[in-house]
Amino acid sequence: MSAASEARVPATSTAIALLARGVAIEIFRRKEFYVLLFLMCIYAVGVIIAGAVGIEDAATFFFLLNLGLTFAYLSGHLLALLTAARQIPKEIEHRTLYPLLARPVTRQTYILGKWIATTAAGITALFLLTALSFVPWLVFPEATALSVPLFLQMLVLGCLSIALIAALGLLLSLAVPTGVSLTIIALFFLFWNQAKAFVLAWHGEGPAAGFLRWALEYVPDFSKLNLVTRYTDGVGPLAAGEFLGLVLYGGLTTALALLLTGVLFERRQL
Amino acid sequence: MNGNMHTSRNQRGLTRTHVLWVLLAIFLLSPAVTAYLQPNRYEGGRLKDDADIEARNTSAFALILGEVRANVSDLLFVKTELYLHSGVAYMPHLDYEAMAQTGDIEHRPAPSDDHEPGTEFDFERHFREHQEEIGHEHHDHHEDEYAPTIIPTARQDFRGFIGELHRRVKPWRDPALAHVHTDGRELLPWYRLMTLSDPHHIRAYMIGAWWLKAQRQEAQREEAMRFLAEGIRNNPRAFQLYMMRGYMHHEDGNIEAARDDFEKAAGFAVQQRPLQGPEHRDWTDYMEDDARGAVRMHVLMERDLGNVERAIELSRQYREAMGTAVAFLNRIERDLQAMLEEE
Repeated sequence: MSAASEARVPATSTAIALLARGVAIEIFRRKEFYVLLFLMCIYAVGVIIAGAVGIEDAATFFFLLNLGLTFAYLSGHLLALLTAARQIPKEIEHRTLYPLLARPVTRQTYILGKWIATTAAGITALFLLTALSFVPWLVFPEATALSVPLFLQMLVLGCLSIALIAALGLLLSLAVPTGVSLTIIALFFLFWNQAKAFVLAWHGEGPAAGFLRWALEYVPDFSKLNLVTRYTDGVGPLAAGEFLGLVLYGGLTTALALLLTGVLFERRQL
Repeated sequence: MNGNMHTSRNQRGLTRTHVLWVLLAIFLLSPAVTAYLQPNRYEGGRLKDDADIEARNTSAFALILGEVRANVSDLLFVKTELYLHSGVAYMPHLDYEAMAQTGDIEHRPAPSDDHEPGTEFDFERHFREHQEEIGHEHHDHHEDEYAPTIIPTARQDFRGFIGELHRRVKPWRDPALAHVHTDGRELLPWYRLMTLSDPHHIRAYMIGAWWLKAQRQEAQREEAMRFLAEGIRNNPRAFQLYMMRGYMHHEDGNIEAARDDFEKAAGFAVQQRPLQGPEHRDWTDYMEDDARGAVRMHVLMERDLGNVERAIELSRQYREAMGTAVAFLNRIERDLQAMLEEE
């Protein structure tokens, strides 16, 4: 490794840290995080009141826990997506990107920094809101029926899913206007699983069915990385092989989205 | 120096391109593995458990939250109940498992309740009766057990004028009067959506197919067959779906196709049935009845196709696998032996 490239390593990490700081400041300034936190606090208060009134049965307990965890899961993704999709267009629009790139910061570093920061923001929201939605439930005896390994698997895949949505947010923001990219990704995040089932129900037979099934697998499927319902449904943890496969699936899709973002951003005329 | 930096940048660019191509190649091949990664495809679970559905949907919190559900198929199940009662919102009271098995709308004792385990049960009569029942259009259910409406009656409502307004602007019917059920046509899109949102919702496939069949038209009957075929494609181990299709083939006089379906149904049922039978938490009375029906029909279909020896052999195998639960096979076996001797 040359002396020049050795000297770049601390510069890159510093640049990423600075970019992350900028993203964090923006998140706190835009107040979206506070709104999500406030909503989750309302939920937590609701849980505490429910505890005082009395939960009638285990089914209701798991139903309400599922609602809380789903909200935490959605919130983490929403925050990461909203932040990621606005980063580059906003910096171009406000012309803050040019002085930044005039410094010894490569475009790849810039993308990496933005992705790490937005992913970290989403994961922080996921952890915080999951804790808020989960902790009040721990006093209920039904909580002992929940699987700890599955909970950990759910969190790991949730983090990967947030990393993926942040990468896709950055990628699409380079190709289409912010509103469009937000809508497209949000629709895919929420409904792709259903849409895929819809397509397969209509065209799942015949000679082209195998090809169609294969082709549909190329579209990132967030539902594969969402274990919230499995967790509250009382089903056991995933087998090691399947879990590893899902980790690789999330990692590969995210890495590819990031690399494509880097390529697109490098070729873009600023 | 400049030359070195240029070379180094080229090398980095080359490495990045290589990584991108390698990742792309892996990604292009990935469906071979990712298609099998289905963490949310599992049998059982609280979401589909009858007792849990009832407890969840009748809890005070569910009433406060209205139709809010984290799971789409659960929300759609709530919708079907509303549509079945022409928009009148009753407290959830449907027995979905009975509907899935027999088309029975309201809760009744499970078919297994009226006979002792191990005794003869007339499955053909059982299915015929229920087919007749679900075919009635807009029928009143005078015999139904009392189910209160979500909007209370004037006597129970503390809201006075507001309550009266609520009853007048929303579909409402005095719970003291008999329920009025629609003919099920309005429900069909909900079952379609339910299976689209959760292709592993076996019960939705079963009830949807029953309602389609209940329309008593050829086109709907064909659609029911297609619906079941789709359900089987998505849930290749769901023995109830094979069994239901087997009955439909049987009604059409297609005995060979019926035999094939009953064979699969019986095979999977015997495989999946726990040793304790209905004593096991995940194996309900309805599943037990379906399993018994599947083995019985498989034996009878072989008989009808003239394979009497094969039918006797199957009967022995099923008796070994399921024990006293299929004691009715003793009599069938005796009849088959008699037939064989006559030949």
